[in-house]
Amino acid sequence: MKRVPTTIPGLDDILFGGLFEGGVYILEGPPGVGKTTLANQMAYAHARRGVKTLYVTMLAESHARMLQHMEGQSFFRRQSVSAEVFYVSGYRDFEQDGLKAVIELVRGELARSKASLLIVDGLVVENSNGSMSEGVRRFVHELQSLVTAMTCTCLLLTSGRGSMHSAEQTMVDGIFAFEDHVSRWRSERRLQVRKFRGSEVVRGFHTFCITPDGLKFFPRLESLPVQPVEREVPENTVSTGMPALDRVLHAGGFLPGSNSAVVGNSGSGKTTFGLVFSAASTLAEPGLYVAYTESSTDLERLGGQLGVPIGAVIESGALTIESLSHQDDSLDEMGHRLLRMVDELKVRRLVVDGLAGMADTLAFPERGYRFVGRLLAEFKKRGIVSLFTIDPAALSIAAGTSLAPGVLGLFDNVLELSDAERDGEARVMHVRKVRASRASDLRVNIALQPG
Amino acid sequence: MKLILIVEDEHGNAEVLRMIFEALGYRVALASNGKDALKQLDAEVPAAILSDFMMPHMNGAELGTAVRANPKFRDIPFVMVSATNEDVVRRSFDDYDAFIAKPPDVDQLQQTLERLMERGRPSPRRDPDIDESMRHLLRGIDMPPED
Repeated sequence: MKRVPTTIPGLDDILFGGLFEGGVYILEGPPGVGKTTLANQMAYAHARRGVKTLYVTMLAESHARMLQHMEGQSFFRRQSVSAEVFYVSGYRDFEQDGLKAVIELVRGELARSKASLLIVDGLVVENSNGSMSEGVRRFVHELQSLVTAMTCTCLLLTSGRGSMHSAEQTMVDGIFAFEDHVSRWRSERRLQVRKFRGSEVVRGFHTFCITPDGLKFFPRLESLPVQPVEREVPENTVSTGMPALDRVLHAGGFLPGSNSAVVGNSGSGKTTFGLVFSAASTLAEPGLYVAYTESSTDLERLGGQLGVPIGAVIESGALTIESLSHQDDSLDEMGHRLLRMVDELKVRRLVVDGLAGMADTLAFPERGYRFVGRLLAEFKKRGIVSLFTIDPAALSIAAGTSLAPGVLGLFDNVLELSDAERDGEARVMHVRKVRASRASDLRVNIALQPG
Repeated sequence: MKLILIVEDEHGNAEVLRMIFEALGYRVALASNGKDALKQLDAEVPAAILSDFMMPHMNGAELGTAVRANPKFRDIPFVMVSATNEDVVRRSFDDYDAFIAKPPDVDQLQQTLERLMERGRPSPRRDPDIDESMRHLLRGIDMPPED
């Protein structure tokens, strides 16, 4: 069976390739969640390839209003309206002669427009008691026959939500359930593919957002199949930037692909440690510093004060600082962004300062352990040496739970900084654990400066 | 009272336009697509036609073509109202008398319709290249002077 890509970023990954030609899919969810935007985004993406769409509105907003709202979307091309994307209203036919007339309208307009994608927006699927009326059931059945005969793929957009076991839900080829999940002050848009004939899907909930470029989906990271990475993984160790520490680790620093947790309270030197590690980045070993509290200007200034040449390394192109402070992204959005960045920049050294910023999301309390585990595995696969700073107090506040010892078990190396044990710029670092090494439970005096 | 035929598949838009022009003192007939509009034209010839472009069964271009092909209706002022780009509309039908982008400015719509109803359709557009070819062909033939 031929696949029809949705072209919506992330959605075809959830579906393992896209929709099936000739299928009828229900998109259900509350008003404003993004169904109409998704349908139009798909229509205009297909229009760019010369594929035509027939968009039938029932009780939805007027076409002119819908098009006005889409002017702000980068996928919208007005010259495609009535050239590749055809909008007609089915309301009059429905009002006068019922759904049978709508089927006749759809049949006639599909033949006239030669559209391969049909969108019916605003169909009321359910009665007040939550079940589908006999008329709608017949409509869906006839629609299925029609789109199969005309080799067309159909999206039915509805604000209703059918019962999981209802007859109508078994009739269609797929059900996409959209929701706007609210928890206290925050909300997240989520999708669950509740049914999909013909292929497995990535099950469970996936977050998405609506941007000026349309919808973007962020499949739940730990549920994606593990894919091989086409990237040469180096074999040499990576210096921490601090010779005293390098000596106690593996013959020169961190093992390739290893990940480390640097634990310490506020003011203990975690950020400084991260800066010193990042300052050792070169064009052959590019670095990425992801900061959840400081801005890039703050970090450059701090580096300057400590004699860490962060500015020069950034200017050379060997290091990128990405500040994610005070953004309201979902956990998966952060994860996908990180992976995209490390791949684009071919990063070898990564600092995530700090884990509390990632934990301050709706999903982390439930999924944090598995999510971090998968993220670290992805970095390891790419040969990236990563360093996560962890402030236990901040993590407790952000995640709503204290730092679980099990989380540290995910990391190859656990290094602890204590602000109580310092002598000027020198610190005592407690090397709690170094995987595949006897160097554990050691105390090392380090100066948090390069060299 | 003059009759305006409004051809629009979107129920809400059609009703609003009806209210506006009835308040201005016109009679209004509604049709939800081109086929319906042709039936209305047979019943009574309006002073003007205001038509949407994207409609099911028979769209605005197909309606306009049918109207211009019928001697009984071809001089009725025809205003196309659409969210589609005008050049896309023009590719299917270009013999309308005015084009107004949706959502329409009501004042502009009213002024356009009233001007057309008062003065009638503008003269047929003259293509200077065709005029020159015609003059070449007609050279040597005594033609009455143009007004």
